[in-house]
Amino acid sequence: MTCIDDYTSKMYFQLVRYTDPYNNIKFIAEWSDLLDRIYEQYRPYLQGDRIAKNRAKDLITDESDPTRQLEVIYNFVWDSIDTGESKGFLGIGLQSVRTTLKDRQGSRGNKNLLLLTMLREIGIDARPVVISTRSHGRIYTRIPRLRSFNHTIVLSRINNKNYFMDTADPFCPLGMLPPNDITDYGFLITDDAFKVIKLPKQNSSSMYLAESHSAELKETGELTVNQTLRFEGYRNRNYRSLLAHSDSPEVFAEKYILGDLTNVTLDSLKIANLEDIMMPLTVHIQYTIQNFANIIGNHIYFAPALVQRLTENPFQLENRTYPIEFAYPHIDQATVNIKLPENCAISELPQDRTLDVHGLQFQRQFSIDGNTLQYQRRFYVSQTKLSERFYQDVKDLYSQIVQADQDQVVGTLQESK
Amino acid sequence: MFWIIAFLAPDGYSANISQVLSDQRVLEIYSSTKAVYTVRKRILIAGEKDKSLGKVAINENDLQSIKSVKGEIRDLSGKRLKKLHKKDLREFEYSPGYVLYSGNKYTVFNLTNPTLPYILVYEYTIELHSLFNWPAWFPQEDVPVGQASFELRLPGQFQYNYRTIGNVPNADTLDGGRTLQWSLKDIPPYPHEYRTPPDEAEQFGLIFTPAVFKLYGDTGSLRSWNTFGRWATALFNDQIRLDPTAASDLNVEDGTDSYTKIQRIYEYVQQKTRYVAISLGEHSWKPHSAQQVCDKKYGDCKDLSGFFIALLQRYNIPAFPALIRTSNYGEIHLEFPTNRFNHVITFIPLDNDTLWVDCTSEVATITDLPWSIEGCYALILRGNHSVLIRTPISQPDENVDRLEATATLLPTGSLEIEGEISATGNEEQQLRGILLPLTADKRRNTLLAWLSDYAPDFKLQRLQIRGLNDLDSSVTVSFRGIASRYGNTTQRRIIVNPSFYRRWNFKGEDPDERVSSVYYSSRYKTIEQITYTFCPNPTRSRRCRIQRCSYRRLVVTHRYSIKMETTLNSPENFP
Repeated sequence: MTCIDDYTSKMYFQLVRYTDPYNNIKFIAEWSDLLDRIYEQYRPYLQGDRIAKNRAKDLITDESDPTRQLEVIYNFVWDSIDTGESKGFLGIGLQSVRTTLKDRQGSRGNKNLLLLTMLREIGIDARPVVISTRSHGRIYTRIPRLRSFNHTIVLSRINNKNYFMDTADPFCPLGMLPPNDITDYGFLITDDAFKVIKLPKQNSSSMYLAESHSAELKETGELTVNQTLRFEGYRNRNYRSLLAHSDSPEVFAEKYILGDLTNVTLDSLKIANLEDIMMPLTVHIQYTIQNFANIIGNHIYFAPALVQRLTENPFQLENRTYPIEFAYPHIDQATVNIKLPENCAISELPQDRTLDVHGLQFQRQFSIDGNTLQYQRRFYVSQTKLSERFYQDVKDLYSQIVQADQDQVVGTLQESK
Repeated sequence: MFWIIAFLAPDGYSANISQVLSDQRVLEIYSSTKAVYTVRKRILIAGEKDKSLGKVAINENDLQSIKSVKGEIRDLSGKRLKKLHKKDLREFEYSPGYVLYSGNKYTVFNLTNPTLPYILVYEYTIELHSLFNWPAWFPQEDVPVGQASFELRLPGQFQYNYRTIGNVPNADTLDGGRTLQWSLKDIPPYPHEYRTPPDEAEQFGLIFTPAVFKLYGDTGSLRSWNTFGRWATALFNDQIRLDPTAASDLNVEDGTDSYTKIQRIYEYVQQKTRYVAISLGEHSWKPHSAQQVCDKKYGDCKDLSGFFIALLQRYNIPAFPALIRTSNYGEIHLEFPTNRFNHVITFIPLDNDTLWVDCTSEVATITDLPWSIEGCYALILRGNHSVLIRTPISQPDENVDRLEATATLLPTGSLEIEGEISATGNEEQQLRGILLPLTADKRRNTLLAWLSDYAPDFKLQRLQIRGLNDLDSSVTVSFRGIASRYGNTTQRRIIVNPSFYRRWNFKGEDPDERVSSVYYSSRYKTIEQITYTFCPNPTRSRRCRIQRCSYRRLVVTHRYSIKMETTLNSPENFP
């Protein structure tokens, strides 16, 4: 879920006006007051800065296309300025663009305000958009509260195309907002207006694809796997972040790819597209699982779900009083081809499964070609917000997936000649 | 580009791996109330995740104050990229989770640079106003350390003691014996292994204690356990005092035996007080007065122990505070008198037995010793007779966690199960400790989560918890429920794992690489016994919700038991 605070009862108080015989101070009563407050603080960034202008011009010397100019400026702020701690999106949290440029460090908000100033200084239409991030909760439009917001991103419009930008996340290039920014609405600040705008919906390109080029099951129950994994969209971002924060690529693979498997040995690992963040992160991995299959008498038992398998149901509450939310649509897709031992014949397969519940689809299929067993699994989350009314259905779907991922194939071993 | 970096990098290290190039610490002692401690570090930051090494927090309190902080970032050629300014320093107050307020203040900075690699250099100096909290030296980090040293400068004849941890070479003596320097090279990073014992978390280090110290005007000595005990006893003596009219609602009948009186007084302390730690200034070691605890109805471990002792004294039952280091923090060593205690319990010598009582526990009875103080050395504060005694250790058969159930497995893979969870000793304290503070809804959700660990769609039909509020009764949880997809079915088979509640998963590293022993906090035993009835052709009884089999039943009893007989297993036993 996004933010538990959105679903707990509470009262907010806000001082509207203070009056005594000597004072008559108006605080925030209307949305226009709120706009004035924010605009007043963002004015210096909208008015421009000479040093930021010179820096921006230096960067785009060789570029004439505005889209390309925007990309260059974004990449500079995104990559060359460190994201420091945030002290708030207004007031003491703000620092001048010169300080951000000089220190090469700024909070996420200050980095975006530098981006805003630099873009405006080279003539690109850019405006601040104040938002409430997912973890901060939703905005209540009935009451203008400064505390409804906690972050500022930037909107540019070039050739009738909108670019929403946040330079905070080192793994989100231009065109991708950090997951915590994926909310419904933002407030666009212009010179004289405060306009509610819809933030773009994320498409379903967040994929985790696993393909097994060759997996071989031995008579002893050992399985060797040669697999290629590809991460796209937000999965690309998430797994790059995990990789960057791991001690080594091997630790990353053992923890985040093979984590649920036991008795597994990583044999080789190659990571492609690491340097090019725009490309899907691709992991070529070879591993061996000892005792993958259980051998009892002349029967061999194994569960073919390898990576991506669900071992426990994330929905554990009996009842739920708030909705289920996913930040973005996503697909997990795996194909595993397991070559069986020469003397093994499949005697029993679990049934194929197709489950479709309120925009969550799960499919699991088996097929046999000679002595190769093919296992295919696909889980697609297309609906990102589900009412609590559907909780039992979703919980039940997940428990069926957990069970399906543990389903076992039964083979019969004939005595080798 | 890489060639240039390699060329410019200082000798002896790779520019691709983050490491502490040098870590120098100097402690210059002027007197027992004045010393200056300086920390200088040079760190090569080569990876994104290691930028966190630029986040530094420096502690300040009554006993130490920060004199200076400097820092900068340089590239590998030595060119300065950034300097730490006053505006980059942030101050905040912090108390650990179990303390409401401690008065500890931290000055924090976070010095990073967007372009990697770079060298982070910082130095800070602290003035110590007492050597009671003499800084220990633990040079190991999450990244390799190239060179580390600890230099001790003494003011002529100054008596102290130290203990080495791991393989730390003897100190070099300089300046006619007034300066000692310990050095280490090429220190590997922390191994971060599964279940590392607290005493092995640090592989290299030095711990110091002064022979004589001053703390808030009092002078004490760490020459022996007895001298330290004498000093600590004096802190308690004045505070264990109650007005004769205080706690007038405590009724302990005359003529009852000592044990019953102690039990009654302990229950009174449990019912009337709460654990709240406010350890400001001298009260980090000295308890608040028993009268104050009685009036305010809260206190930390030493406060509650003092109040308990004062009440016992009213009934002429001798009892003494005992300083202890809880087992999750590691051992106290007999040969090295130190102040490394973190808890206070009460020691009550009886004619036939000794009682060790923890007044902070809300779920223990007078005879229950929490696992964290089992088998630990405790310093009994009896003035001139202060002595170090080891607390008792419970055996696995005293700490049993048990599930007993009967279950019916149907051809669909559905499992109907009815059973009881019970626990004894430490396991019961743990179970009670988790469930007691929860609301009824949260208790149900917690138990449901435990029972559905391996049965993801488990639905509870009945749940009853008994004995939770009565510390003299045992806690039992009776349940009945259905896991409609417990068994995995193929065309002709149902495949089930008979361990419904507890499964033993191997979470450790490769046995060949294991360095440290394997640590369990307590000796215990886990038992799971389930009698399964496999029912190929079920019919439903009108009276009973559990399915009945009309014919051909197969009954199998699964019994699973693990006994953890020691809390520490050497690495050789790890595989």
